[in-house]
Amino acid sequence: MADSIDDLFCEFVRTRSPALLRTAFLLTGDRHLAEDLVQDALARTHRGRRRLDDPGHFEAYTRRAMYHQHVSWWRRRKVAESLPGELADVAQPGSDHARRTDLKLALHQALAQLTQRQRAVLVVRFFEDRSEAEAADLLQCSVGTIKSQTSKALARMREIAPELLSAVMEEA
Amino acid sequence: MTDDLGPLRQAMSDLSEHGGTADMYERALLKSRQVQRRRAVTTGAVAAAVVFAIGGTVAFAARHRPDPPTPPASTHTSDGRQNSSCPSTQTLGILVELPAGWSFASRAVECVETWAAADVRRPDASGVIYLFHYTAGTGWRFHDQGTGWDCQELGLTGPASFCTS
Repeated sequence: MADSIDDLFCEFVRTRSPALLRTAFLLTGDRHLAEDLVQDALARTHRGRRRLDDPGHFEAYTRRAMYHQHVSWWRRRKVAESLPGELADVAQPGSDHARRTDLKLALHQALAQLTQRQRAVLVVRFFEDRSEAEAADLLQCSVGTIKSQTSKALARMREIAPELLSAVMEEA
Repeated sequence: MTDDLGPLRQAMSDLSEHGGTADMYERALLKSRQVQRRRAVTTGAVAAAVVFAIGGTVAFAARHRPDPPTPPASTHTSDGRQNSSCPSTQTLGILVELPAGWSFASRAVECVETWAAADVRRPDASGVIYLFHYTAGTGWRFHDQGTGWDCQELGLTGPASFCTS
């Protein structure tokens, strides 16, 4: 017997929540905000679940809701981002782990200085590995906008955290 | 020079791990139901407001509606023909649509037997008379406009200012 739409939704949430939370954390920079963002997006998907003709669309719908919710949140309120305690974990200076932690901290600080759209574009393009066309569809804008926002975001990152874009080249 | 995006991707992957692994199912369900309830309440309130607004408008319009076409007073003239009570210009305004800029003069409507004549002022300040006729079955009806009528043709026996003969 086929699962009901509610069962499918439950399974989707249970299996995909961690991935959604990871993206949400990159968008918000704060774990609690990330949970709120995912919660709102999932609630929206839950309300629209009967309209989604294929449960496979749950994730696409939820991610789209997350990106839009994220931008509208920041239009309404400015929320201070906080670093989770374990983000600045202790590592041996000079070790690979220490270097990765430094880059992680640099990224966290750099993302906070980008516009919400630039931040979303970076997450979609370089964390989710989406093509420009997919990113445009997800963020509901043109491919040209994705290109220009990506370019601006990378230029800004180069200013704020150059180590994120050139560390490997320096090593080479 | 092209950017090496490897460190950026790696840092994103590392940073994203701090998103946690909270179980979002119950929270999402709770939020969804909250929003649904809030929407239901809002929709109900809006519907109630619309109903009240429409009801209020209808009641207000009914209270301020001009007099309906006046039913006959059923008085009879000495010659035995039926007369009617004299309609107001408001009542006559419902029966006929005046051209833009035209209006009923403030002077009282002149009623003679089953006929009513009202002065109408035109934009060029000239006047014209609108003539209405009352019949028992249909009430007051617009008959003609002009400056005077042959009252014998109208069947009038009494004198009237709008009669030319």
